[in-house]
Amino acid sequence: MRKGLFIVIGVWLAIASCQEIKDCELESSTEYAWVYFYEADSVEQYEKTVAFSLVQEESSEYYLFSTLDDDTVAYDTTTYMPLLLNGETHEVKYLFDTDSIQYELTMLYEPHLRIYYDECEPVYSFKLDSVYSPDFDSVVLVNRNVDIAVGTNVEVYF
Amino acid sequence: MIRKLVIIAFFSLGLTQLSIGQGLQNRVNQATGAARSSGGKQMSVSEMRKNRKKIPRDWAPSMVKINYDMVPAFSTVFGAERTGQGFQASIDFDQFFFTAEYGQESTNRGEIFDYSSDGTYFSFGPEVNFLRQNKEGHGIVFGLRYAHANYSDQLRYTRTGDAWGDGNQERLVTAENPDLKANWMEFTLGLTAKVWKDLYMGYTVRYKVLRQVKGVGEFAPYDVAGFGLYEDNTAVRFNYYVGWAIRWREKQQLIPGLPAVK
Repeated sequence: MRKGLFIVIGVWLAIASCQEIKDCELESSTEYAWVYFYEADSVEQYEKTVAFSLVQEESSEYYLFSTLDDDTVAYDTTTYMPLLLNGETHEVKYLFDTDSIQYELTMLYEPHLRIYYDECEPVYSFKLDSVYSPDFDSVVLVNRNVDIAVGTNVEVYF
Repeated sequence: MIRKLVIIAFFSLGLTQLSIGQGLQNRVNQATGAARSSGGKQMSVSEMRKNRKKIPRDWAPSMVKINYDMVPAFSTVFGAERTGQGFQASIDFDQFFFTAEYGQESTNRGEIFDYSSDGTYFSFGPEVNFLRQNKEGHGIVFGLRYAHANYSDQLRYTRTGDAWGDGNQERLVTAENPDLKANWMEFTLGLTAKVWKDLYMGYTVRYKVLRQVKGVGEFAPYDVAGFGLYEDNTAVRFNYYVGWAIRWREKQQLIPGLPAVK
């Protein structure tokens, strides 16, 4: 009987110990794709420092950077940008304005609304399908997963 | 607190069942024919296996066990998240059972969102009873089942600080999967014992694998009716059954001249 009791307690402890510890902070999905800029006319891959006057999504009022908004100063000169994706649509088109030229970058993706844990707010997770631009020299989709562990999603050469 | 009491209650029921199971264990050798056919002498495992093969089969069914699953019943009464009902029926063929289960399950979850799911599930498959020679229907059973669920789910929550649109306003987000179909396989391990007349009690621990869900849209379900969490590819579930056996004949006396196992 004692042996059986130990077995039962052991099984219960094993089941209890298998309970996954969850924390909303551990959720790894993000809602922005990392875009890095590189020199186009180079054999080696050199990062390019960019200075746009306005970076905004075309169909909404959302902008990542504006020279008129001091809160966005972090991206006045930069080599990379986190471009926010919209869970309500399957496509975002970002416009990168300079004083003379406007560049366009379109990202197509699959949004997925999911609940990570009972105590956390539901989050969108995204998987990029394709990316294209009629203005930059070339754009490359290097990682489809939009995740905190992913360093670069899109490389832009111009 | 209530949840802890329910767990303690199940734990106690498990110990009771274990005690009954230990009683059964003493009959295993009898049930497998080993002790009797040796005439009380020691015998090797190979001899015991040979003797087991001599036991005639009795394939004609002798009873149907109708079981009610107490676990979803407890959840319905004491829990806030999960409600439901579960039924199981087993029919015997020699030392095997064919078992079918049907259940209904609803969940309501979330502290900062409102998620609900509702659906039905069923499973069926064979079970082998390791207590081969017993006419009372006691069982230490191992089984394999196919399971299927039809259900739907909905999510509503208020999204704050959204960059899209007016960032200062709250936005109500709603999503649903109206027609979800799930399939999976289950390995079951259970113990059942006759406790009074034709009243049976027993538990089953099931390990669920190969979960597939069809009909998922842009919203990933959180629950799978009868399975567990959608994000888990495998699940373990414990069921405690109380049931009644409907008998229409006595199980055949398997070794002539020897008393039946009781």
